[in-house]
Amino acid sequence: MREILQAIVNGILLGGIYSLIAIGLSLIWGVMRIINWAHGAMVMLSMYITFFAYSMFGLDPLIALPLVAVIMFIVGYILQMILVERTLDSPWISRLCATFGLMMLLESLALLFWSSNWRAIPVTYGTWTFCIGGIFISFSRLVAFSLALLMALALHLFLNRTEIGKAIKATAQDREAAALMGINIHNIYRITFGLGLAATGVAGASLMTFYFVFPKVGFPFALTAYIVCVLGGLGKLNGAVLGGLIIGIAQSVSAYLISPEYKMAVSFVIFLAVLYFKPGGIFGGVTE
Amino acid sequence: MKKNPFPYNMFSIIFVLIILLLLPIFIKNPYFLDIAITVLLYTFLGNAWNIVGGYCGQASLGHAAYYGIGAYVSTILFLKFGISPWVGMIVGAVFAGILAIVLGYPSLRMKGPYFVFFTIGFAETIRILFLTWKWVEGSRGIIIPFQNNPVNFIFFSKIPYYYIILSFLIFGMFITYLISRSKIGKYSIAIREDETMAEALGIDTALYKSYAFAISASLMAIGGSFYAQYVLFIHPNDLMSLNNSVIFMLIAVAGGKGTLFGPLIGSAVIMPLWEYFRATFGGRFAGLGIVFAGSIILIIGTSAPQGIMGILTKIRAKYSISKDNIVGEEK
Amino acid sequence: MQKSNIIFQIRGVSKSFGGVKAVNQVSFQAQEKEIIGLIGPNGAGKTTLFNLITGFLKPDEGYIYFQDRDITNLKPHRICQLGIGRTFQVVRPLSTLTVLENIVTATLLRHNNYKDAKEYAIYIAQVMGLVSKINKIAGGIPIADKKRLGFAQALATGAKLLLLDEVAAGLNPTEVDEFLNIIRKVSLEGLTIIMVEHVMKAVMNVASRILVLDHGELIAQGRPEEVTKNEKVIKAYLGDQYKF
Repeated sequence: MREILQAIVNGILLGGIYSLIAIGLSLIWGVMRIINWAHGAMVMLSMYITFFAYSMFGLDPLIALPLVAVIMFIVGYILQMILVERTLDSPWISRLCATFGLMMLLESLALLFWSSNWRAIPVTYGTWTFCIGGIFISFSRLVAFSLALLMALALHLFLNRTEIGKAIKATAQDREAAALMGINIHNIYRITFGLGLAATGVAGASLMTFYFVFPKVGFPFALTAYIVCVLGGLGKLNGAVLGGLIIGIAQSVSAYLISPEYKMAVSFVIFLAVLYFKPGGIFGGVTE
Repeated sequence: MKKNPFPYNMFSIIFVLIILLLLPIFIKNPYFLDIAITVLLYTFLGNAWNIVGGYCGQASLGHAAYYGIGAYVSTILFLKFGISPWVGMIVGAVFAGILAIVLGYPSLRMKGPYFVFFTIGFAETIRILFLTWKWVEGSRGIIIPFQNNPVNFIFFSKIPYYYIILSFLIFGMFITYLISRSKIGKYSIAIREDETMAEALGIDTALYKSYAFAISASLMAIGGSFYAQYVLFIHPNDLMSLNNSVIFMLIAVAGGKGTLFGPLIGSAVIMPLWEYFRATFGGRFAGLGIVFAGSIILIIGTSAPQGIMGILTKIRAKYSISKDNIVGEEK
Repeated sequence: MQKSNIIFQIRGVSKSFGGVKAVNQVSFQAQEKEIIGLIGPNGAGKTTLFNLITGFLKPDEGYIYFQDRDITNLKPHRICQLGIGRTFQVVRPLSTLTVLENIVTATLLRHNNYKDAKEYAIYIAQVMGLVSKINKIAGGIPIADKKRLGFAQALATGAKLLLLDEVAAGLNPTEVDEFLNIIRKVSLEGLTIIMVEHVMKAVMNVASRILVLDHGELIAQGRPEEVTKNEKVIKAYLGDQYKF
């Protein structure tokens, strides 16, 4: 019994990170109707940036985190400007090619420059663990989880309470109307992409407190993030949060009950089931 | 101008065909012959993808599953039941076709990225299934014992393999040609252009998508069987990977999706370079091949959606416009 | 009056979207060879009604019959196969194909042989005045031709009932007259037509009966002269401020 509870707790903690990655993806989709197939590679990129912040400047990942988030925001802004923008009016297969190609490029360049060796950061608090009622909670994972939720909350507040945030929501609903109201659509898109990547920045930096990075590390995270988005409803941010937790728990519990190899399979089965029975996801996101 | 009923330059086709037929006579080095076989195989596979992805507009990133299923069906029938891979190949093709219809059914109403998600998820699930399935040796893969015997579809020299895959390719492209001139093809194109409009014109989009899928999957499976008999080792991660699915799509898209010769051009350009990178560079430089492929996909996505064929067509259009100006008004 | 066949019936059909009734208990019927005009202010539910009839939307309640057959819950392609053709308010040509290929895609429904399909497509192109453009890419032709193409495609599917959604919008008076002539000709050959229109002159001149939709409800129907004098209709268009 305790083991299952432990699995659930671990699942929730990891799920928070899935949620954060998924929120970035969902936001980009909700506003621009683009699936960023390079999202996982962006997580990988932020993890490497965090690692180098440590290996070159001795920065602890949690300290480097805000910096990484800002860097990723800028990266996102620029990528949108020079790359993704060109595909906005193209058929979706072009957008698929553009972001997918970006992913392949990033992963292979990472392999080229940084080799396939696993890199990890030996943080001082790496082995700190709490024990509550017989359940072990790793300090790093708890911090990562909290940061993920904080970032989600920050995004929520930003979108609903600030002028720019509302402009983003307006553009998401009706891009032509927003343009007619004087909103600079292209700028909004760049900011949105930047925010989406900033979220991966926070996720990546958090991950470096207990995980390791290698060129293809982003792939399983990306796949899971897509599943989470579909589960929660594309474009629905609270769906992404809830979906992340659900998938996190599902993966963790199935890894314990069946075997770790099946954890992706279980996620896929959930995902296929959602696509078949309720394509809009839990919260009925955009299906177009 | 009377519209050319056969819009391809017969002369250049025959020319290319003769070159392809005579190639093994001039290329004795087995390494280069292997590259040639790889190019032809991937053209065949890209052509199969093109039927459902290029002509029908249903860009599946899960086709590697059918590739793998074809390989596994013919191999299992051969090693466990003594059935010749030639027959097993046909069985695999039929099985893949039926599977595509049955499992594809839920995806028929999914649009855009949801459809892509579904195909990725589907293929990954199949891959994991095969990885953990003891009866097909799962993660150990299957080695096909080398018994040089044409009946068993195993040959010592590469040359028979070359001609076999060349014939398969000609067959596959012929099928694509027939489809493009038939009702299935015209309807598929309509579905690709505008599914709503297609429905309004009386086209049963679900049915025709299924047709395209079934044909595409069957051809894919045949390619898989060929691969199994050529390489004599099959493993779920080699066959059913997302990487493979992407390459199939890339070859068709880079060459020109929805065109007959797109996959040939795409494969001829990409596969030799890919093989070169893979063989020459190991370890961290294995990434170079993917840097290359990734850049191509990126450029296609942002600047050249119609691929190389599209660029060629534009050049030809510009050229013929200036030609017309010289020749004068055409009737 | 000569008794004609009732080819189309719609009874008590409603459709809501998130609490708003876009179509509310609409009932009417059409006889063979009739040309019916469907008018009403913007947002009255006219296109929704078309979508309901052609199977793109499912009614919440009510029935739709075509040639004595219940088509209420059929899929769009099935309804087209049974003989109802439509155009779209925003034209949707298959842009990368030629005009001829566009029409052939439609004629393939009734002609399995590609050669026959092509011949019939050329005939339709002649009827619609598109023959000089058959090899042009559909995405690049002017809007009036795109509308002609949409009409041609609907005709080419062998439709017995044609639903036209604002064919006259964006056309100059000459083009509108051309369309009206085609509509008259086609109706004489046995087709029934229901046309949604905003261009009053167009619809009043060619329709034998007018239906008026407002806020999803059928508020009036009758001959053009009667309907224009109907107070409810005037109010619907001009609002309550205008008193008579």
